[in-house]
Amino acid sequence: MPNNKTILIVEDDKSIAEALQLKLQVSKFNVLLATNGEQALNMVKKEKLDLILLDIIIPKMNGFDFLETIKKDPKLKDIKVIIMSNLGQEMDIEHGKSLGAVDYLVKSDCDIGDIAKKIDSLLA
Amino acid sequence: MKISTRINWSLGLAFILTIIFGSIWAFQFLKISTSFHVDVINKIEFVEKQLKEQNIPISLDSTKTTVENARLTMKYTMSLTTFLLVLIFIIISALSFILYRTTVSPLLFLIKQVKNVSSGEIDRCVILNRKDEIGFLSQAINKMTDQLFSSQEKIKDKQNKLEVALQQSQEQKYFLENVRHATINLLEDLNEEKTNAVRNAKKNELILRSMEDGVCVIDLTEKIQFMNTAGRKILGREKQNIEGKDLFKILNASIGEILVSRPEMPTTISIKEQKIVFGSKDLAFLNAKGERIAVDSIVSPLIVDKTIEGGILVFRDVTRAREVDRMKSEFVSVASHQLRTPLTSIRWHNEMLLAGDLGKIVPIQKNSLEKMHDSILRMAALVNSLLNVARIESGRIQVEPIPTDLSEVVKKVLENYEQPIQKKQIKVTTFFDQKLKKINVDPELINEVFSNLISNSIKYSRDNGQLAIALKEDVDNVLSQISDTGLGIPKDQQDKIFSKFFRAENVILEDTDGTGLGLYIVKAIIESSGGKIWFESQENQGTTFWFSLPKSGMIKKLGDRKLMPLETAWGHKKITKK
Repeated sequence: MPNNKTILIVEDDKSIAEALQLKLQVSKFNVLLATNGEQALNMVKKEKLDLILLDIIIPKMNGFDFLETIKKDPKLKDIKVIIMSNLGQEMDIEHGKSLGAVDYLVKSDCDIGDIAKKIDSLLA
Repeated sequence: MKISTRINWSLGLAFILTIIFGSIWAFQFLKISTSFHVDVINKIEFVEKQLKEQNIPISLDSTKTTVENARLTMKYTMSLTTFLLVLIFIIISALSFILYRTTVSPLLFLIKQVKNVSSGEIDRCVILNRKDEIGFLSQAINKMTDQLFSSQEKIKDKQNKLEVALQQSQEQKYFLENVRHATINLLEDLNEEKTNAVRNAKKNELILRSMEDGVCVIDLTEKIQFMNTAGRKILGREKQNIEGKDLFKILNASIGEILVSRPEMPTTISIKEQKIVFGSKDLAFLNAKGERIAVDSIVSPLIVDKTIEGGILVFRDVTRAREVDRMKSEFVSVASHQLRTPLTSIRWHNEMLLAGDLGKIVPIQKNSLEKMHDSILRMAALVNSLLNVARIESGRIQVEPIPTDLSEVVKKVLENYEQPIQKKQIKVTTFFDQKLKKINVDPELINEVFSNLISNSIKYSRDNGQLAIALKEDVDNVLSQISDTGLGIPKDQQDKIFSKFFRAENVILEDTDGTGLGLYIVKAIIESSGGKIWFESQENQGTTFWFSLPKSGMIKKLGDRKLMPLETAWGHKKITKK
């Protein structure tokens, strides 16, 4: 039974995006996909989203800028954003959190199961 | 003619003359007296006869008597004269004898004495204690001989002295002769040495000129005494006159963006502490154009006859090499980074398959998938390690020292490794010095160190092995010790154990996992913190690692990178900082 939560995956690598999509669909989430910052922005405005899984290194508009933009929009700022990036440096993490991300995960250090669990608990 | 001879001759002559004249006199007289007497008597008698013939009554008897008396008187006078002559002769003889005895004899005696003195048999004459001329003579002779003797002594003395002086001058002469020979030999040797020295100097000059490394000699005030061609070339000062200039001002050394102050210069330190100093690997000089030249450098104190006279700086332009290194590091970094995305993808898909998200799997599939999972984790660990190495080498790792309790770090690491410790039934003991205080270290970097060492100990231990961790402190440092009873490191592999990608043969054969980068990273962290790391190991008995950290702590370093946490190939939860 699909739940009513919609998650946007912003990720330019197709295989990663697909893995995430698969995993989330197992948990019965509604999954949307954007492969660049601009596309993501359009989708955010169009769709009703509960959570965004945000990669940082993406074309056209990087993740931080995207995050900053939506947080400025009163209609969008409450969407939960989990940053998922391979940039694992302290300052990037802090930057992300300061911009309003609820969490910052380093893709290569995470099990996909953990990501799913985290999302579950956030949207429970 | 000798006096005595004269006397003798005179005596003899007188005697002879006396005899002769006496004889002549006597003879003549006798003749005269007798013949004369006879003649006279005859004549008288003739006359008498004549007279008688003539019957002159004159008697010549009185004349005859007178002649007779005359004859008697003559005889008597002659006897007296003879007697007187003899007497005179005897007296003369006696006188002569006496004269001889009183004069000639003592004189002869004196003569003998003097002869004896002059022949050296006696030193002094016997003084004739007479108050006459002979006595005076004797005294005078004695005085003379005394004086003679003393002057002889003086002369002997002088002679001795002269002899000594002569001896000395002889010796001097020999000595000088030897000196002359020695000097000639020395000159020959010196000449030879000079030729050799000139040859060597030419050789050295050639060597220095053909060397690629810069060589600079400075005096105690850091003024340039000499710089070879290569050095000048590196600094772009081939034509410049830099002798006598201050090297510090010429080099404009910097480490990174920071200028090096004079007391921090390896040249200054080397001279001050009289030891060899390696320049920092990030040291750079400015050339004449103001361009930064990265250098590898070493300074040695110049000590001649135990006195320090200056220093010798040898340096090499490594800009190219550094650039290549940097590019290599950058490449590794970029490549590793690029690898992470596909790795993540594989990992997640694999994970979902294993979790059954994509359908039920049969055991044989599960088996393969699990093997894949192991491989993926290994690859991930390797990629992380490569990135760590690249970051360490780039010098961009951030160091955030905060007061850290090392025992807490150890405890946390042990918690993280609980699973494999339990699985292998490893007995863990810890000894933490009670007095141990917190030291300023970056907790993540220290965590990395302990994680790597403990992870190795567990990984390379057999079941039921032992692991002991001790923390103690001495005057300046905190010492950590990690001991295990595992596979150990073979002696012939021990010197490579900290090298990049090195794994000892014995562990490769045991088929355990490892990137060969862990110890390299640990050593880099420890040494950049001012500490030391060392170990002892016996194959199949165990290994003990020690490392020291200065109590003064790590130096804060700004960096734009952090180390990736250690991931192992065992599938347990990695350590993430939350």
